[in-house]
Amino acid sequence: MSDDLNGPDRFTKRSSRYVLEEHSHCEVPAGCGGVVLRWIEPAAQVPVRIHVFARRPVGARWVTLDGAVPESVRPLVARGAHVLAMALAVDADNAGGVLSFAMYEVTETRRGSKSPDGGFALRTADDGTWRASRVEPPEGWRSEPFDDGDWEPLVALPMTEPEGRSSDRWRIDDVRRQGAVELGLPGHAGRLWVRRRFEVPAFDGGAR
Amino acid sequence: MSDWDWLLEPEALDLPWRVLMEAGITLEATGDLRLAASAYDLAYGAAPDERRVIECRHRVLQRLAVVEHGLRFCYVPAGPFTMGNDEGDDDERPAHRVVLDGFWITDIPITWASYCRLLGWSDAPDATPPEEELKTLSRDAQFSLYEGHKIRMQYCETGTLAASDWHAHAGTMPGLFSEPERDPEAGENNWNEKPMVAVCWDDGEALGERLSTPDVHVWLPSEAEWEKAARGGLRGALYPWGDALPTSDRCDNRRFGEASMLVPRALTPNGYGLHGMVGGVWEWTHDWYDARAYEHATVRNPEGPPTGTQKVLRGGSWADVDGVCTVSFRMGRAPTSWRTQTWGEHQTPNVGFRLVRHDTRAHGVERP
Repeated sequence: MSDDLNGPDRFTKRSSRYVLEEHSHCEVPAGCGGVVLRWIEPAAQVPVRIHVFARRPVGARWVTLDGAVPESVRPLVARGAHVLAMALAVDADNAGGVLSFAMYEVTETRRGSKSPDGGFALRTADDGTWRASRVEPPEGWRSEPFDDGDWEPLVALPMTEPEGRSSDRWRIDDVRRQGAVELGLPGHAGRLWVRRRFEVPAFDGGAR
Repeated sequence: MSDWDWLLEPEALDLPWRVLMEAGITLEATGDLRLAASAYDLAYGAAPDERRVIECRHRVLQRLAVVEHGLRFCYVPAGPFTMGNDEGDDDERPAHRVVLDGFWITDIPITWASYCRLLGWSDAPDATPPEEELKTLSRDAQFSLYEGHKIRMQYCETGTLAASDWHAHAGTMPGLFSEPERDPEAGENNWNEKPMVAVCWDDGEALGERLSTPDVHVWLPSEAEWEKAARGGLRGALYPWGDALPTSDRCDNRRFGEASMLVPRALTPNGYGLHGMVGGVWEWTHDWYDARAYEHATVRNPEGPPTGTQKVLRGGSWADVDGVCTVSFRMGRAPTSWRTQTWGEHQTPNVGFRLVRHDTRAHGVERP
């Protein structure tokens, strides 16, 4: 029996395996002043928040995680290897950056139970890991295994600033606040397919 | 003492199913359906794949089911079961034997429509107490009740496919903001199929108090009653159906991104005929939470510690991962109330309740 059960906290629920999140009404539908509760298992998955802006996404399934559209902007992502895939387009008269993306582990909604050291984050960066194809790839490109070795890296390329106040303005600023770099392929116009492999690290059993 | 008291001892869990089956047949033939149910239930626990056991048990449990106040109550036979899980969280240990009196429990969590009808309130979504009761409530309490309705309007309506913030803020002002996504096949709105949510602990107690009579006591289940009901007669299983992971035909969970609930009666019931015992909504129990409660629990009809800071919730919800939607996982939450506080821990679309019924005409039962 853990030492926690001998202390004053024995009358408050704590779990050695699961963490309780409370998502406020500002983030999820919970009515004014309400919260949505969700228990997660940090050893198996991490809750993330996705911020993304794409200049011209193509199709309803333009962004997928391991071949499937994320259930929400706050999905649970299993620890281990994954691939992000996006189908985009670039207008000839708007050749700035096409994509900025940030996904990071959310910890501020956790309550009570011991929380592992968080810190998983994925952001667009000019580091050669965001790969793009100018021609439509064969089927299976959204998942693994897939060889994108001959794809070219996206590079830092500022986006064209939207005019005035608009939802695009807000969304670009939102992703910038997450530290994402705007990426593109200079001089390219037409369709663009993007992949990024990443790994959510194994649970380190971190404790507070 | 009767010749059959041994059925209600912890050691009955060690008996061979044929012995228990014989007892059940004899008792059923003499007309003692409740003890027959106890015997058949124990036989089922020992041999859940024996067809004759399944048939006899089902027949007797069906005869004992009750429809009262428009609610369907399923019977959970008296007798022992093993509570807890030695492989679970610390507070689920040790697994230990408990003996309970027989009781009935609602087959689904209480719906918003039932709640309003049984308390004499106006129908949902207006859901207003009668004038004489309204006068006793402070303005803050009335405001808090109204805010809870906003949550219920999003989640408790049968046809809603996904809650939306705008619906919450709009309240009953149609057309001002966008409507939530609805199932086009759902027909007219109704609030009598999905669990009532944003429920505080004393909502359950208040409804139980209203429905109780000198002979029939209705209240929130004890934690032990809830767990025995959830197990559905199976022994040592993680879930009401066994150890297989939850699937959408049995359990409403892992749907945080969908912001909605499934209709409980669309889910396969457990061995006691109960729908959605895990997943759906966390369900209030009567007991205070104590992480060490199992170390010193009484064997017969345990009621939990005398005081505490949280009341026990059980079952998991539509948003949660598989591991907390088990029959043994324990959760606690402060029993805040809209009647006394403007905001509180009950203001969540993840929490509801179901009721148990004790008929004291057959056995003497002291009200907790």
